[in-house]
Amino acid sequence: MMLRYIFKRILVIIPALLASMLAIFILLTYLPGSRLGMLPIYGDGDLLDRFFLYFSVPANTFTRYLRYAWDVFTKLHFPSVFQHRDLTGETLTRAKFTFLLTMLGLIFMIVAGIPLGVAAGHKKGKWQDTLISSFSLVLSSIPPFCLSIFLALLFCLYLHWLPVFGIEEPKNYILPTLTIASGGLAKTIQVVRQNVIAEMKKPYTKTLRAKGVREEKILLRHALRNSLIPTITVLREMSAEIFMSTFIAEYFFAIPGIGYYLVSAIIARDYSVVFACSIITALFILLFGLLCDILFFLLEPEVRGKSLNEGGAHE
Amino acid sequence: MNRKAWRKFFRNKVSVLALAVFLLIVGCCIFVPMLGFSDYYTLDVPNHHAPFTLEHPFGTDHLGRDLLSRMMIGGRYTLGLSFLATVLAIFFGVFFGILAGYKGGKTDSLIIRISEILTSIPYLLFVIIVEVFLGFGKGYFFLAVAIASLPSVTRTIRNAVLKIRYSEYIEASITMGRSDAYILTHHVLRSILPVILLQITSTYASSIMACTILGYLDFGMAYPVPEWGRIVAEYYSKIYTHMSWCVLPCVFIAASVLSVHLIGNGIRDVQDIREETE
Repeated sequence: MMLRYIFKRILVIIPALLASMLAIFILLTYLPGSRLGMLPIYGDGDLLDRFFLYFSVPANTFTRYLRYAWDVFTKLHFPSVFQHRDLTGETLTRAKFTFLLTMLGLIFMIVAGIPLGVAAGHKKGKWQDTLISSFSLVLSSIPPFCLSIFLALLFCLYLHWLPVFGIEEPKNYILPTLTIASGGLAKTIQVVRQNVIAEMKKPYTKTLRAKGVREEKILLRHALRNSLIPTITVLREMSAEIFMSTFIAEYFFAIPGIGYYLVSAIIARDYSVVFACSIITALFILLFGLLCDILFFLLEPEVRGKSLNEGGAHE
Repeated sequence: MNRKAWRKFFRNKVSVLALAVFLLIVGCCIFVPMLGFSDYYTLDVPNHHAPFTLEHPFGTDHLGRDLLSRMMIGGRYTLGLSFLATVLAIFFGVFFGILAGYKGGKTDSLIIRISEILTSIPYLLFVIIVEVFLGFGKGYFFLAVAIASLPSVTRTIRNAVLKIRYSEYIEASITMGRSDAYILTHHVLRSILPVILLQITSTYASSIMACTILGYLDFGMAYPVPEWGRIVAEYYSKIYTHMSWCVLPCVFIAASVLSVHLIGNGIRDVQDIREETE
């Protein structure tokens, strides 16, 4: 049942990936300023066609796309027009860093966010709640780059506890992880708090209390479990934002990941690199959606083959 | 949101304070540059690295440019462009969301699929596409921000419409032979209005965030024009000696995003109370 569900979701992901690849490919092909598009300026109008013919490249965009997609999928081959080499090795090495950082950020936002949210919801109206809620509100309104600047200032320049940049040691990853986690952490705290409060008011908790179940057990077993589903939905909605803050953290802390590569490629107008990085990011975001769907399935098996998006009633 | 709900909103001290802070920031951004401080691009070289003075209330930078003017002009661009992005995203998001939720079936799944694809494409890509076609550094990146926040608005509106789509009063309305246009304007739009208001505040907050991020990464306006993100990026290398240059724009960004969030929370609280009493 579980495996069938995952398989079905993967089958949905492949066309989505192909479609986003097609969208990226078309957008980048028709972008004025690409290397091939500059050719006709220096010669007669049909030089581009002759170029395509000479290198036996199909002139039709869609056929070209199919060839490109075939190369990407079968040989994992990302050719670069600008750098005259294959980008596969470089892209994959960089993708590893991005994957690692995003995972660390996600783990931190869940490990720190859920207990804080439950504590705030449990102590609703008391000073602990006020403290945690205002912390999460302030955290959610600081952009990641401001946060990274002040974290670096405090921990690296004033306290000399952590290095500003580098990738060799584990402690290099602490500040980027905090930067990435900030937005999602704030949102997780808010959603968990709100849902724990709502769940603790529902009739079933009253029944459990009447049965003599301990308050902590009701809170952690039942209320928390039910408030995890909306949390996952919210995190899934935030996926693009989370990856954007990964890019910012990479850019600021000089970590050679996809985001750093993408930003520098956009500045250099190297569209092959932009294409490769965009596809990897799209793949990551779709896989993140898959992960959320699997978690959602584990928590609520009655969804049966529906995606979160098709849930409708769940918010 | 009826009059009673608004009165409740204004009785909440936190939301009134947030509204006041937000209006203060917007008002400062609009009116302070008219007060006759020196321009954001005028170089007052003898006065470079000036501390806070009456002539330059926030001091001057390494080229002697007035920092108050720079920050207020930057606020005009950041807040204004993210407002434009929000308007676009809300307009199209509400349109497609209602279309998907009300029509259902094939239209629904098509819109949801497209929105999923749009979410998976990083919005830096939209920035270059938009800027290549419309011109670099002219502020068209707000279109990219709008495209980036479109899918989530669409999905939220669609879910809100789906919640009431099959309720009795809409079925009754259909049975009575009302036209789709009548049902949409009189029932659907009216009942999802609080959701739209909440979406406006949350989209505006995330658009401010996205615009400052783009400014920070140098995909914003062309050079002399300051933006809050750009100001931070320009001065963070000097944070050790001149911390206020970097702290002040960060405080402005955080204060405006926080106040928009709090206004949204106030609206949500009012709406929750109304639902409980009815």
